[in-house]
Amino acid sequence: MGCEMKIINNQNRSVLTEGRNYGLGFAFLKKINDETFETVQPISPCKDYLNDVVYSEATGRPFAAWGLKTTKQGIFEGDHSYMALAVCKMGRSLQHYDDYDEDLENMKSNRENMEKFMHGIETKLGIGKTKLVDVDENLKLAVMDKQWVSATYLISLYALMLRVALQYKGGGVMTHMREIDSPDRMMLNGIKEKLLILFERKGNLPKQKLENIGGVHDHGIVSANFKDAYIYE
Amino acid sequence: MKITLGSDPELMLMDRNAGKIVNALDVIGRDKTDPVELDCGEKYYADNALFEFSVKPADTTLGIISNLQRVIQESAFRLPDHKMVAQSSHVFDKEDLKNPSSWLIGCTPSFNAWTEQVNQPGKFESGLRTGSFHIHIGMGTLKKLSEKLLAVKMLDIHLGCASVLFDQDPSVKARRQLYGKAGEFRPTPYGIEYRVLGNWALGNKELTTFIFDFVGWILLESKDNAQKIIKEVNREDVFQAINECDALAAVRVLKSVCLPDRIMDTISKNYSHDFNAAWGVK
Repeated sequence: MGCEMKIINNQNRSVLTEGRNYGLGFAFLKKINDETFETVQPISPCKDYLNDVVYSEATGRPFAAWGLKTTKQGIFEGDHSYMALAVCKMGRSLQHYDDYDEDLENMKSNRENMEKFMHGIETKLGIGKTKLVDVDENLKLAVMDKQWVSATYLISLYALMLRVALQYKGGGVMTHMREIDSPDRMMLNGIKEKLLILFERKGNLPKQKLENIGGVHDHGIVSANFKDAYIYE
Repeated sequence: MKITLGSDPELMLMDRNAGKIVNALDVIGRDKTDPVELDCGEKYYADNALFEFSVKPADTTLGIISNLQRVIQESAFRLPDHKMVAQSSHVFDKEDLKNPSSWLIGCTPSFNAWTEQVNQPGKFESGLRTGSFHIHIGMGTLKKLSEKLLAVKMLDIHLGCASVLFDQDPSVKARRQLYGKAGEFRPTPYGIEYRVLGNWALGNKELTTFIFDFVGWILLESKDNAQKIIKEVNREDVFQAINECDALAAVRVLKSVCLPDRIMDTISKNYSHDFNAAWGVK
């Protein structure tokens, strides 16, 4: 994998009604060959759309929410899964937002730190390490352990961690999460106890019965309840 | 320092013939994924069972009031059989909530500025639906989380507590079972969306105007004392005032921050309430 990497993105973000419409965006990729990948959904800062894809891929059931329709495409069948990352301007009109330049600069120059942060989290969870590849100055390929796509709460956590990683400049991973001066600190406060449970269950993370989850789109790490035996083992 | 103000109010729709509040989804048939585009450049849509419209931000109170008036008047023109009602909550009959979208809760989380926690998205378990007067505030000094939290706390202490006095809506307390507790906000790329107020104030233009003016006063004129005010205020009173609509607690908070008499007088007035009259709708 090197400078030949190509991500084809023919998806139309404007069909989405995004809950979050600015900042680091995500889209799952279908692998065409070793150098070429194609987005299966628009690159969107609303990470909940990733839940929809995970659900359809796992259950084979089509799903539709807030402008995106997903059907099973068999994209998670190899050892790894693939995701595109790009900093997105705001909304359908692609407005510049205050932190855009800073986010873009981090996309250009902070890949190694982002990887370090992700590896710190992945070590605590017992999940294989993410590799980030620069495709262009505002486009990265994330090569991820397939465990991340085994549950909506995990892919939701993964995207949140990537967003937090974008601003990581070294030091303690947990310290960064406690001190980050962005709204994600509140998301992290809200999932702190769940994160500790996941760290304790390193290598044996709660399995999610995807066919039983309701409210697929918003069944991410914030709303996950590991005590719900109907959904979690 | 420039401040921009915007809003996306949620209102009830009343069937003029039946004299009954109805599900906006059944009336408009379009939600925010497919909004109705208005000639004035704004849009309206059904948000759950409520009628919602967006209002372009403006950097003066006069500007935002004028934008509000344009949207409201055009919306009223397009919905001649229905009347917009500024009421904070209503319990719909199950019969009126047959559209499955009436049971969907939005996926964008809101946060509590005091606890710095995400508000856990709940589930609708009854026919109770709520209407809010969310205020979007843009300011160059509201970039970092710490700045946003400070602003929300200042808004709670002043505007949130003041609303307990001027908001005479008997249904506002029911709204706070679901939304609008102290500190509720969403961070936005331009600043914050303050989510504490019910929509009752929109039934009086003078009061609506005051609220936008007051936001500017809170964030601009009193900002130098913000740290001190937040440190010294009795937080339990702030929570009790807003969450329980407790007027005595609200007065204690407002007295403790020594508001100018002219502001205290405006807050304490009895306001008439007629949404259509307020915005020149027949």
